[in-house]
Amino acid sequence: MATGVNKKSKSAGSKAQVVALPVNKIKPSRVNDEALYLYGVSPLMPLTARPKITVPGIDGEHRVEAIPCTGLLCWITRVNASEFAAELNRKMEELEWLAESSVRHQRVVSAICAKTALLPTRFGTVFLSESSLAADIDSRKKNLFDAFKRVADADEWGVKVFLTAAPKAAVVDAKSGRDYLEKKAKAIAASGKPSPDVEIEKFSAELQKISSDSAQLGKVSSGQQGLQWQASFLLPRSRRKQWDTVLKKYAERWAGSRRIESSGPWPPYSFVE
Amino acid sequence: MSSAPQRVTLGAGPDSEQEVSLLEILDHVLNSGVVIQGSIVISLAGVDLVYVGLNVVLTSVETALKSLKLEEAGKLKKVPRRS
Repeated sequence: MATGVNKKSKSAGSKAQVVALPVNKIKPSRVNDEALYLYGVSPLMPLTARPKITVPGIDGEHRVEAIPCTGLLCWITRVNASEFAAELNRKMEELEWLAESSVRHQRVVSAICAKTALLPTRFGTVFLSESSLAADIDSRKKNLFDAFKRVADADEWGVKVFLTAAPKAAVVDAKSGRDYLEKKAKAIAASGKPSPDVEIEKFSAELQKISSDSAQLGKVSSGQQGLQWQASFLLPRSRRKQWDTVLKKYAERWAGSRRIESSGPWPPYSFVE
Repeated sequence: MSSAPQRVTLGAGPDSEQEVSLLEILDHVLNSGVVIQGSIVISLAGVDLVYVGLNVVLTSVETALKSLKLEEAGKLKKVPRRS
């Protein structure tokens, strides 16, 4: 797992870190308890062309704004600095807060993506000032422009395959325990075990053929019952029909043994790094 | 293009489309996206807790989604938070 690294930080442990600003930059005399929560970056467009985002920001209170930033447009919400800066580390471990905030984050990012190209930033990216935001964006401009090209006119889709049928227990007529085990072993071997991997590989290969990239899907749902396989794909919008055809084909082929869940369109979260 | 992702289930009865679950949102949102180095950078070590505490997440997700729905319906100004 990637660890956020700050040049000013001397200790880069594996634990989440909140790196405080140098003391001389903190001005307690000024009432400035504002931090900038960043959702992502879009190509710069004239003021009149900028979409209005009406869903509430990450904190559920403040609006989503687009601010021009060294030739790009940064989507932010002005949030309370103590909640999103000083306390963010602790907040991330509060599951209820994490759940709510990630849902809000997703809603904002999807709303922006529906209207313009966007490179979503990692959940929990917070700046203390517009100048620190601008400096950072400026330093990675080239990479950002390259990433825009990669994800242009494409959406992320998540695919999961679940096993629906439990393998049938073989009925064994046995004289003894040993006999039972031997017969059962034979019965299982003879039943011609399905080879799920081959099927999944074919399915995955067909999806990869029509998409421009693929990635491993998150681990959060890896414990779901019956989940056999999952992945994310970056799919050009022009290929939606082919995508649906492949899903349908395999759903019919696997009827009774597996079910497919496809979710999307997602912002290209997994394809911008 | 619609802005909200949907989940389609195929191969288990008639094809059905539903809202995505929190589980899916977490799968896509967490630990992805461009890493921009802020004044404050959070590495997602805390996310490991999500894997361990999956049941807790699922419960708190339901609560979270309920409050978000109420909020959207204009019944609540702000999501009440247990602290």
